Amino acid sequence: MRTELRAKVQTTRWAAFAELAWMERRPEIGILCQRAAKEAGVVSPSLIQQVVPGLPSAGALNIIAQLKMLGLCDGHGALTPLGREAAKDHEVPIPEQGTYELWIGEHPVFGCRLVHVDRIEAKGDDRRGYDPVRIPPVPDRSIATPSALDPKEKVVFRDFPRANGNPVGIRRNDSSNLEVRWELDSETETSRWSLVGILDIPGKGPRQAIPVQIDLEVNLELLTDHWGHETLRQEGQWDPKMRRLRIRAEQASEAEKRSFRKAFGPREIDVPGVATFKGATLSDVAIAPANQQESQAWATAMLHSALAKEQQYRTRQQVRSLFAQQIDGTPLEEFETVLKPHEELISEFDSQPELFWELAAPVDLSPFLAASDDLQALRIGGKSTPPITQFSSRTPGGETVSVSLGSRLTMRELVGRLFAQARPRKLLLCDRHVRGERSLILLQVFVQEVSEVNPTCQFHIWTDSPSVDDIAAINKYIGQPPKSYQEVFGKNRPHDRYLLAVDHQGAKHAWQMTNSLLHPSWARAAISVPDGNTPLRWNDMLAVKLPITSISPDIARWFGEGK
Amino acid sequence: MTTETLPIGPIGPISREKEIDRADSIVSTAWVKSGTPFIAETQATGPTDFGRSGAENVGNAKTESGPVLVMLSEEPPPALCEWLLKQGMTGSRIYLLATTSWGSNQLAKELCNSRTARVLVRRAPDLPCSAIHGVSGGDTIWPGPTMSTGGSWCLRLDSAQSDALRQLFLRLFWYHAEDEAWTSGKRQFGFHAAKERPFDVPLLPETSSVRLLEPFELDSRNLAGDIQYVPGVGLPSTSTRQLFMPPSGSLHSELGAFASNGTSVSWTSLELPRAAWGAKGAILVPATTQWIMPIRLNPGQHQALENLVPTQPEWSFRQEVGIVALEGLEVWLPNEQTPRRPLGEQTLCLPDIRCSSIRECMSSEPTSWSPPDPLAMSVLYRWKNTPPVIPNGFQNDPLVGEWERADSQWQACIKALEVKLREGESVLGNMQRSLSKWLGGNLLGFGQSKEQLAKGLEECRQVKPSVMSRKELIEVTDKLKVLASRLQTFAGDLSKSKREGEERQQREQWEADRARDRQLLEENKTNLEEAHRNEVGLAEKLAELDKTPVDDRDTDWKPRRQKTNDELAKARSIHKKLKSEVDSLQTKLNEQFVFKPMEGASKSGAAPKGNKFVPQSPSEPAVAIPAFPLEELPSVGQLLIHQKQRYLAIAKWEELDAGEREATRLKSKLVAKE
Repeated sequence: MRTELRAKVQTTRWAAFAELAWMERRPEIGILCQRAAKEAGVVSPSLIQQVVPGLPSAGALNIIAQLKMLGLCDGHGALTPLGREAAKDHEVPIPEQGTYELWIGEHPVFGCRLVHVDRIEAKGDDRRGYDPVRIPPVPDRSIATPSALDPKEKVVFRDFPRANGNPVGIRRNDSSNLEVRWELDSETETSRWSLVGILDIPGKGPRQAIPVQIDLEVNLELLTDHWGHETLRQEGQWDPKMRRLRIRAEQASEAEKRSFRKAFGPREIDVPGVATFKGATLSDVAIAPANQQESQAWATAMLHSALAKEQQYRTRQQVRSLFAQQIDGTPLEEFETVLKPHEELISEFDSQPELFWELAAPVDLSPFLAASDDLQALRIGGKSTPPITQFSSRTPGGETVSVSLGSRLTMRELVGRLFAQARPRKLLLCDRHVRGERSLILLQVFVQEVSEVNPTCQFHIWTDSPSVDDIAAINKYIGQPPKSYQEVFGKNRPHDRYLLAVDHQGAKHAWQMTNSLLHPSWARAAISVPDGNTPLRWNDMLAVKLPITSISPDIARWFGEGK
Repeated sequence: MTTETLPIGPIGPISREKEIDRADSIVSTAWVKSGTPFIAETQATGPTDFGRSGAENVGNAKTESGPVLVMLSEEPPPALCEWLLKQGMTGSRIYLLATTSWGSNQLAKELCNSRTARVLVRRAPDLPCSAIHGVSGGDTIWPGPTMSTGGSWCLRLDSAQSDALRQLFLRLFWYHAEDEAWTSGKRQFGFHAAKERPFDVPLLPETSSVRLLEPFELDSRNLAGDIQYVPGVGLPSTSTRQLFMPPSGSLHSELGAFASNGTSVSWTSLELPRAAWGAKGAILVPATTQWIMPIRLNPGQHQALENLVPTQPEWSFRQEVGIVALEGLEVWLPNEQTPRRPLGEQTLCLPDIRCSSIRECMSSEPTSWSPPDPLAMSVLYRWKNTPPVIPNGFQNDPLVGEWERADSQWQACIKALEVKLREGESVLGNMQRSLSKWLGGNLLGFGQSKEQLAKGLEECRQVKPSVMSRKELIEVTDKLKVLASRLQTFAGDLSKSKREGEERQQREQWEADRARDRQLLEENKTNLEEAHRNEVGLAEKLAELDKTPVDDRDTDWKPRRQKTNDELAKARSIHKKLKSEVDSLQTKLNEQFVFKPMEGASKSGAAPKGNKFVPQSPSEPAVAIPAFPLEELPSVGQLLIHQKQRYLAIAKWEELDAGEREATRLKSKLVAKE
């Protein structure tokens, strides 16, 4: 959850005699503070004597007294916040007294602090016509505040020297208009405020303030829960365990459904103990469906959106994969979500004929008869894993191997099925996507498993637009670089993947595959590099063994190469 | 052909003709139509047979539970279209693969407008046939076009053929469709680019009973059979017992080779695509320019196909046939576009012959004769002989110009003589007016001579030398010379008489002037003496005065002397003047008479007009008689020249003989006037 809170800052301008300290770089003091910060944050005579060898104890005590005078430590030598800052950046407050124009801002987020200071020359005439009044706000003395106009210039307020007990100054007219901007992000656990707006400078006119991000420590978890329970009470039910707001699917826009993030606002947001901010927006609020019904509606809407976004013909397998990808790793996984049976799904697009045909035609006009299971509902979120099933094929002499979505098949099992009765002597993988770490790892596994069947098998790979790194990796795994689709096919590139092999008896085999055997995933958290026995998580893939004359001559040409 | 007598009238082309009899001719190869067209009546009733489909057969087909696949060729059978529309109303899913031009016909509109139809249409070019798949009545292929009698041949498929058809449909649907559309309740299909296929479709193996090939993939050995039906272009690559091939004007030599090897070449249109059948089986091959779709028939279909073959073919291919035997039959000869029947007599018009001479027009024949129609019983050749004509760009021969100049000079000569005659007339008139007093009756003879000369000149002026013969020309030239001579004489006589008259006139005037001058001389002499005396007296008087002594001189002396002196000067002047006049008159009277002819002097006495630097001819020039060309002009025709070649152009046949003679004389070529 993320929000940006804004509120007007009360700003007053005074002309007053004051004691201030300008931060200056003093490495010799900074080194002392640095050593002290390492030694439990205390400046002791012995520590000073270590830094300045030969210095007598009296001298060391004098230095400590000086550090105390500067506000870097207290009377016991303990470093103040200023002292700890000096230990980091070696900037030290150097006090001075004089007359100043002081801009003092007040807000509960940061209390009372100097916003900007200008040195002025005191003249007797300045007091003519003005009555000195008591300065009600006394800025925080413990911090060095950067100027709103020049953040490099930092000042520490030390005191208003007083004659009769009260600090007095001359109140100036001021038209400055400053806001405090407070950004809170529960995910990055950041809480920072800054000042923005206009500062009125006499003789120079209005000047834009330069925001400086200043951390403000708050309990973001409590604050997030507070807002989830209270501020967003009307929007849904806050799940404190998952820190998500459970809502109805219809409440989320298309983009919100996809990102599982939603913005709420503007509204009044309360920061307990600080202030109430009006017109603030809560964004990046994690959202999730309220129940299974909403989860189903959510998933369906996402699928419709994805289908409409990229209009193309999609096979049932592609729709199943798309549906699964949308749910995988999202809050929708909590509930069992169902992809409707094919006929029921396409009927939802009766009024959108283009989408209707994009789903219907690839099933009706598929060269291979889809398994009836594929056309039935797909349930995601269940615990069961679909088994490998055999498919019938309308291709004469067709032999098929089918892998269902979500099945846990090992590469060894797949290779065993593809080459059940043959030991490949020479093999071509024609796959447009052999790139990226996962594909290349699985290629290595595949090569290893085939080599288990025949250690002397020669491998060839044809792929689309391989990068230099891909070529190097493939060359490493199979002993020769891949050929590019551009070189082999020109513009007539195949859509499906092909696995061609010549076995030990010289017989030729050709598999047409609807998906890549290099695309399954595995539990990477548990296994960084899989092997042939690693269960892989597959998408739908149908491999059909074809007569050589049924594959494209451009691909079949491989059989004639290197004879 | 015989030489005919010369025609009369203007010279022009002569029409000629010649007739040849061809009854014993033969044609080497020909398609001969001897039978009647075939009408198919076989109905496809069995589940896997082959026959003719009407709307009722397809209409009975019902869909199975799955979707229906329909393929529509460029000319789908109407029965299938009707069935498709009806099936669309049931709401079942229909996948329609149509040709790229499909989408705007009535079927498309009705399907698209239907609220219940659910059709996905993809269009691909050049589909090889029409077909349906997924109906309970049996999947069907319509391998050929719609028949001329309505209906179409259809092939009910067995399960293997049906599976292959589905695979073939999938290949075309997913790989070769260019665009796609679907029913959406709108008025028409909105086609847009076909989306990518979601999978690969395997190719049909070679053993498949239905295949889809590109033309170059077809192995002609697969088309071998005892009987071959080849409705399109191309010939079987292997020998066969019977070859059905549509008659045409092409491939006769190749068909002749088949026939010589014992193949019966004939044709009856079964309105089927290419087919071959025999002991080894039967195959139908629907084809387009892009696809060939061999369909191997099962035994039932094979038998049905064999039953179609008629006993009497409509056309037969024959060799070495006499044309008499073809009389009344339709015949298609080699290299001809259409069949036709033998002709009776053929008239052939040959190109005109341009003869080298006019006389050849009567006898010239073509050097080559156009081949007659092979089916003509006789042939009549017709042509025209055209006479030679002068090439364009000709001009009159220079001889013509010479004669034209001679004619002009002749007329100029006549005119000059007439001018002289008129001058004589003028002189004669003047003489009659001014000199008749001194010439009297001498002028009477001149009038008669003038009339004779004028008449003679008028006669010569009517003559045109260029059209005269040489003899006539000499005569008239001599006549003119005589006239010129006489005119010269006339002018001389007239000039002489005029001079005589003028002399007489001047002498008379001279004598009168002399008498008057003599009288004046006497008077002047008297006055001269008196003036002399006066002068002497005054001189003396002046001397007297001068002698007077100065002292004696009175006051009047000086004025008196001055006066006397002045008078003396005056008297001397008068004396001198008179003396001069007397001398002049005396001189004049001493002069002899001199005749001064009037002619040649202007009235004003100024110099004669003309260029004073050109000396006048001493005597009046004589009139020149013109010379004539040595060659005469032709008596007929027009003498012309073109590129140094002389042509004599005549216009009428009657001028031909004379023209030939004149052409020879003038060394010219005789041509016809155009």
